[in-house]
Formats: sequence, C-alpha cells, structure tokens
Amino acid sequence: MRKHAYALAALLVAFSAFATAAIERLDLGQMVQRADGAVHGRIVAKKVIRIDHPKDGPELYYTTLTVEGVNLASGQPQTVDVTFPGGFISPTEGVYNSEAPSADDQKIGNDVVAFWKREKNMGGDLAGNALMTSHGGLYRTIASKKGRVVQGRGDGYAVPANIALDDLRARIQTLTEQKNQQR
Amino acid sequence: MQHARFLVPLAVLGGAAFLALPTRTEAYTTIGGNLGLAQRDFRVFNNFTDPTANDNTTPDANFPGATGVALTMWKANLEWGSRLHGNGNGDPTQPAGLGSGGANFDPSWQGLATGIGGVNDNIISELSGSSGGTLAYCETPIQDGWRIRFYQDAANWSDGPGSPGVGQYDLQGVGTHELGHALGLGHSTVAGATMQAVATVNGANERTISADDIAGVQAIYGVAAATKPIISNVVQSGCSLTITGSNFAPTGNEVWFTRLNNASGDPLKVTNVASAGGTTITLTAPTAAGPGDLLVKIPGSANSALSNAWPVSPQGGTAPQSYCQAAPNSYDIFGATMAYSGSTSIATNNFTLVTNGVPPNAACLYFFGPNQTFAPFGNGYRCVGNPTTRLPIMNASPFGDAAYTLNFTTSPASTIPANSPRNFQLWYRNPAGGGAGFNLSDGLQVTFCP
Repeated sequence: MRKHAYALAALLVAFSAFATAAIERLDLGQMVQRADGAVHGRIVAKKVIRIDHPKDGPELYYTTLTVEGVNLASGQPQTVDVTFPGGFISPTEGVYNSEAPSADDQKIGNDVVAFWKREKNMGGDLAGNALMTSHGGLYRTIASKKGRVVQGRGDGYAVPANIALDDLRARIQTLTEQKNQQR
Repeated sequence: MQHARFLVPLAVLGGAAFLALPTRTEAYTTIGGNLGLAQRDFRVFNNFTDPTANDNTTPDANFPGATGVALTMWKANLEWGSRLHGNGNGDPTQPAGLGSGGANFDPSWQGLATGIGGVNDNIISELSGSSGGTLAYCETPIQDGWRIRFYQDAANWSDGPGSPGVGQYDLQGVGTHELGHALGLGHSTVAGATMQAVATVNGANERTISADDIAGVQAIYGVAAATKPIISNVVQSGCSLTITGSNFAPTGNEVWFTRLNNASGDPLKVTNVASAGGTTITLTAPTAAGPGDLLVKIPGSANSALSNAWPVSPQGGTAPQSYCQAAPNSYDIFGATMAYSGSTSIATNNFTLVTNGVPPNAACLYFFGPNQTFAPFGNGYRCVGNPTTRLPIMNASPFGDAAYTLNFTTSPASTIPANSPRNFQLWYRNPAGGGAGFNLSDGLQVTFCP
C-alpha cells in the first residue's frame, strides 16, 4: 500500500512538470537542459520582420534582439540574435504578442540575460535562435554595490528571484557541465 | 511601571513600521482595451495535426455541431461568459459548470473558419514549428480583434473532454488562458490562476477560471449589470424558437445566431424583434442560422446590452441537405447540382430552388415528394420516390442555372406541410448527352417551417 502511495506521489510530481498555460514551466536546470545557450550582455539592436506565409497565414511578425556580451557557460565573448513572435514594424503595423517580453524589457541598451535555442521553424518557416519561452527567457540586470543582479520573474520561471549575476553564472556553468557529461 | 512608559511608543512605532512595510501585491493585469459588441464572435480554423487534438468525436447537446478542437475552444471561451451556458454541462472536469465570468461579457461562437485569417479576425488555429517552450500565444491589440495560434510542435495537444494524458497538453486549458488575453487580460501572478503565465499543475485546472481571473474580467467589462438581458431557456418547435428570460426590451431586440458557413465571422442577426413582457421572445430561425449559440441584444452599445449565450440547433440542426447523386451531362462533368436560397419559412414565402451545371437553355422542371429513392433513370438517377408532384416546366438560363421560387400561397407548393421533409430534384432535357436524351440533378431535402 505504501509503495503505491509513493508511486502515486512520484507520478504526481512527474505530472506537474508538464505544466501548461502559455509557456512551459522550466526551472533553471530544465532551462539549461533545453536551451542551446545563455548570454549576458547588452541589447544592441532590435529588428521586426513580417512574414506572409502560404500555409501559416498572413501577418506573422517576429522581433529579433541582438545581444552583445558573454556566453554564461563558456565565458567567451558572444553576440547572438534571439527571436520571439510579435512586434511592430511601425507604430501602425504589427501585433502585441501575449507571451512576448514587455516593451520595456526589449529596449536597446538594456543589460540582460537571455536563454536561446536554435529552431528550424518558428512558424512561417523562419529559422533562428528562439528566445526560450518568450518573455520567460529574458531577464534584466541591475547594477548594485555588490555587483550586477539578475531580476527574477517569480514562481515558475528559470530565474524566479533576484540573484547575483556571478551566482547565476556559476550555477549555469555547473548545470552546463552536468548536461555535457550526460551527452 | 517604568516599562509601561515605553509600551505605547513601542506600539506606535511597531504599527508605523508595519504600515511602512512594502506590500506584496499579487493580482491580474490588463493589457488595455476590451472587446466591443462588434468583436464578440470567434471561430476555429481546424488545421490541428495531432490526432489527439481531434479524437473527441462524441457530439454534445450543449455544443451542437462541434467536435474536436472546435468543441474544445467553444468551451474555453464560454468559461469567461457571464453565466452558465445552457445547463452548464459539457466539461467533465468542471462540476461548477461552464460560464463563470459574471461580467458584462459573453462570446458568440461562429463555427469553423476556412482559413487562418488576419490578426484581427478572431480565429484560433495551429502554427507550424515551435519556439523554445512557448506553447501558444494571442495577438492583439484587441480593439479590432485578435488571433490565437497554438504551436504545432510544442506539445502533443489533447482535446479532452477528460483531463489530458501524461505527456499531453490540454487544448481547453491553454485555450482558456489565451482567450483571457483576447478579452484584455495580461498575466497574473496569482498561483493557480488561469492567467498565470506558467502554471503549477497540468492543463485541465486552467479550464476553470479562478477568483483572480473573474476579478480581472469584471474589472475590464464590469460586473454583470442588473439590466443585462438574461436567457434562461430556449424551446424549439420546428423552426420556431421561444426564448424565455428577463430584461428583454419591449421592441428593437436583436437575436444573434451562429451563421452557417460563416465566411465573415459576423453573427447572423435578426433585428427589430419584440418581446412579450420583457420575458419572452418568439421568432422563426432564419435559414442561414446554424447549430451554435443564440444571444439577445437589447438596444444600446454598452457591454451590458448583450445576453448570455444559449445553445440552439435551429431546424433541428439540419439545413436543407443535398443527397443522392448527380450524373455528368454534356455541359458539366459533375452534372447538375442543387442548392437553394431564401428562407425555409413558409410564412416568409421566398424559398428558391437553384440548380447549377444544367445545359444552357435546357427545358427542365422540378418535382418533389415525401420519399427518397435511388434508381437509374435516363442518363442519371432518380432521387425522389413516388408519389411525386411536378412544378411548371421552364428553361435553364444561358449560363446553365435553373431557379424556381416556391409560392406557398398557390398549388402545388401550398400542399407542402410544415415540419415534414420534402425531397426536390430537377429533370432536364439533354439530347447532346446522348443515351436517353434527358438527365437529372442530385436531390435536396428540405424541412419547411410554418
């Protein structure tokens, strides 16, 4: 009987990992497992494109942010484009996307941590580096007396609470090593 | 005693410190704007590819005409409605029933769309590929509509009606979340809310909106007004519908239906409808009304002018139905096929039989009867069994169309009873087709209303 209870509890725990809503619930370990990389740096460019696709439909808007900085796992300099659905080409042409980072989070000049994953098709046959879980893959940082701090987004996100950038970097490096050893 | 001297100041300081503490606020957010009465329609373009997204093929009387993804999204939107949809049944995971919003908001189901549509066409569909853990999204601004997309490769989508299996994602739960965005809600920080961006439990729980979600939709649309029209029952008798409820206007009501084959998304509206005592509306369902929902709008443009949605299946869920088989002729390899225009209401008296693909200018006539058959006849097939009644002989147009408007005030159309199916077919001459020199269209079964 007790074994059954343990099995049921384990099943429930496993089940809870398949969280729904609009974006997947990924803790930092799961985020590192799923992502192809994490970069810390400054948003230096922003571009919005429109795709009209015969199968996926008209008016597919995508925003690409160029983040120039350092790969958090390797410590090597890195400039990476990260893309998510939504955005405005002009003040009158484009869409708000419910899962996209807020306009304030996307500003050029922001210092951010971004998790990304290479995708062959993000819709409309657009290939590129998807910003993991849209707004859930972009975290702003702020300078403090004790160094730079990454702002957490709350329960269910890879960075749920504020954390020192150095600490986050160390955790990502450890998790990346574990990921590489598993391969 | 000396300690007592410090107690009051300490209490004051403690109270001040408590008040100065930052409060942690957790609540819904809004994205700005709301869906006006012209944007209450929604449709589904069923391009979903996972077999489990469309394996619920069991019809549900509370959602007439819908199965699979369509049924799922209909339920998802109704949960935001002001009060229970019909008797509230239809979602086995939700004993409290569908329709929990309690706000001046109710959606109008408009069936299946034929395409993905633009960003303001209020259509839900699938999008190919995946985007790094994003399951679905809603595109706004909402002032002129919205569009919802589910990523094809993001999940193994399940249409229920029970909870999804292990490894599957719940279409209805995610749909309820995305439709909350369409209504104007942003993400909530409240654990367990449907509008939380990342949930803590698997899918089906999000089908049921939480107190925080309800507060959000009520903040946008207002708490359901005391003057908001309420439908409490709809009784169908043939094509006649009797709507009972409260707060209907004496005159000038609109009755909104789900439109058959809806290309625009706009509800089918019967205007200038009177009520009896503000509690009863009786009307004949228009021919173009399909199975879906019925709503009553009283005069005015406020969100509170529109009632809750009530499931109906006008004409018993069947519009005039084509049946049998057309045979090729000298003009059209698909043969002559029947259609119709106008109302099936005898009182309206404008029902027109239409046939396309007839040899131009051919002599022809319609005939009808209560029985169906299927037997070779001439170069085609006879679809109407004996006894039959002939309508006047006429000629097809130079473009190969034959049309005849029934006049129910004179014989023989005056002999057609209400609520009893009649089968129609076109006979036409076609010497150029060889053989017997004549042919027939397919059949059309029509049940007329009083």
